[in-house]
Amino acid sequence: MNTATRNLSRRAFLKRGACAALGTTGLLSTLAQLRVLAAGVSGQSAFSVSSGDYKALVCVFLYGGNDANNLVVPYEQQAYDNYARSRSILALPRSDVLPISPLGGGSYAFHPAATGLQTLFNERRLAVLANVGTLIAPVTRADYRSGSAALPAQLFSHSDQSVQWQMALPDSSRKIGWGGRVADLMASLNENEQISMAVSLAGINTWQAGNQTVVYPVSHDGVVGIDMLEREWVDPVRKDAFTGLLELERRNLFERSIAGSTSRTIENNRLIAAALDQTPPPNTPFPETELGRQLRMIARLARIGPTLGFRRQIFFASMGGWDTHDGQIDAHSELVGELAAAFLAFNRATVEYGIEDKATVFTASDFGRTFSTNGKGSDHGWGNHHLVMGGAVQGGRIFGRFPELIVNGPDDTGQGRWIPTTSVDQYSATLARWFGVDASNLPELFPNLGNFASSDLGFMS
Amino acid sequence: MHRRILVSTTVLGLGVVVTLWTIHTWTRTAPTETPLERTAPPIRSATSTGSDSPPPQVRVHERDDPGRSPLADPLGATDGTIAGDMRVLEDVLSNYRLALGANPWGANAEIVAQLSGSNRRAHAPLPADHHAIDSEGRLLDRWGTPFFFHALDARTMEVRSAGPDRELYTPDDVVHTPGADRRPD
Repeated sequence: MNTATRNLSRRAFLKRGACAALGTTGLLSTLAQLRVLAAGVSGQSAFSVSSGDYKALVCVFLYGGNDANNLVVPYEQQAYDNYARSRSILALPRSDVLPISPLGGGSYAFHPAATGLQTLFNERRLAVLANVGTLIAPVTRADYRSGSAALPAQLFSHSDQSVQWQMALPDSSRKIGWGGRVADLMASLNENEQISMAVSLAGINTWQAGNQTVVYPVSHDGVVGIDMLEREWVDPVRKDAFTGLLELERRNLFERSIAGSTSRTIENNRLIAAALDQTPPPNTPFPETELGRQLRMIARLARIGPTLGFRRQIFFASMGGWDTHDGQIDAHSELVGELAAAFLAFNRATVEYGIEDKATVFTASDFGRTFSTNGKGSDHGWGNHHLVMGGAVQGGRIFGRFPELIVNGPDDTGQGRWIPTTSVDQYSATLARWFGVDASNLPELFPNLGNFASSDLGFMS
Repeated sequence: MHRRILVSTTVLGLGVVVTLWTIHTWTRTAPTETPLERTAPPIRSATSTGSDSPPPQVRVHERDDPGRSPLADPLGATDGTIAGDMRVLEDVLSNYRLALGANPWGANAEIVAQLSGSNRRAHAPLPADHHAIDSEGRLLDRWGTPFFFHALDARTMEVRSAGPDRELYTPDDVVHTPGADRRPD
């Protein structure tokens, strides 16, 4: 390598470094500016909100890839026959499924275990989004088969696709979720900025991670305190010594930061615990399942949200076990039953609390599953049907285009993997708009949104 | 005033001298060019070993098939085992990751196509004419059933053989997760 080549490489390195720095800071700085704008301008703010309102956005992530081919089944006889023929051993008997009549037309049915979902759909409190998936831009079967389509990285891989769903940035490696980006933008609306508006009942996750927003984990029993301070048998002198240490003046920035965040955590825990104590659990019975317990706590936290100074909160819950490669019929039935019962209970609890219109729940999952079987289960797919629930949802409808359930048909990559006809970006942007993000800010939050025909799918009022 | 100008000029001059010296030192110590095309080791002939023993058998790539790799040749060999096949598959996938940065993706035939060179670097650790690939482009285990590839993430691919009963998810299945028990590559 000669000197000229080496110098060129150094210049190229510096140039690339500068570009990378600009690229990574671009979104952050723009969001920061938007936050300042939001805080400083009322009336013509960057957000479509009025004072005194409250909204909660709840993500229920179904880890493993839900087989929504059996969650929403075609019910019209001819369509059902096609479904049954192709699904083979995984086909649900027509006599068992739960029919629904969407407002926009068509004849479909829910999984037999989804009685709660059928009830909510018929009450127009629940909508179905058909064939949603990670996309950079629209993809046709011909594009896919020829290899000319721009595709999200590592399609059909659990970890990668769950992260991409939560980021709504399928062509980026940065682990910043779209919920976190929305929270970055809207945190200043909350009077209480001390407690994170991103509360997770299922641990740390990508969806709620923002540039400034941090995830605040809570258990389904309430806040998770610092063990030593919670136990009655710990010597009060030691507790006092601990809190005294946190109040010491520190020169080291790192130590000061740790002490500060620990003190804030203790204070936040006290605030939330006190608020929860003053708010009785809902009378609505919740199923004693993992998701049931998570959604019960979310309902309680949403109820006390305005009391704590929140106008916007995002919540994260999850269910695992949806990777049904084997024994799918039984396993999926159990999972769908748990999901449907928890959804119905959450809706009833929000009605009881008078916040039904203020809380919207939506599902997300790694991917759909193949329409064809691999023995007693199904393989990793792509496009998938999803559920949105709440008083602000245009319920009783199926939005988007239902795929033609034909293996090697126009919607199939091959092997019954539906090519999504609605992108995660469109789905997320529609929810973000309801949450209060102005349309003009959506391209900043969802950079690929402009590649699709519509940024508002119309399922939120 | 003059003194301030003198000090400023001296500091500036020193800065220029240090910068020039740094650039000079850097370029002087830069490694000389070593073109990749000249790094191949010489082929050792029988006479160069200095002994009477026969030369070691070295497999070389056919010139008319430059992408061919012998890495996957033991896969499915009659004198091998399924455990050995899994190790070979692990090596093939690891080799692919080293070249492409991530695992191939998709179902069996799609993964086989990528391992056989349908990728942006035309890298082919699995020869397209490998005897374990069937007419539909799927890689078969030693009992003739397509391997089942389960993508956990970009670098971790669980591989399942249906085993002697040729039925997936039964007790005789053989499952291996390449990369799970070794350092990240």
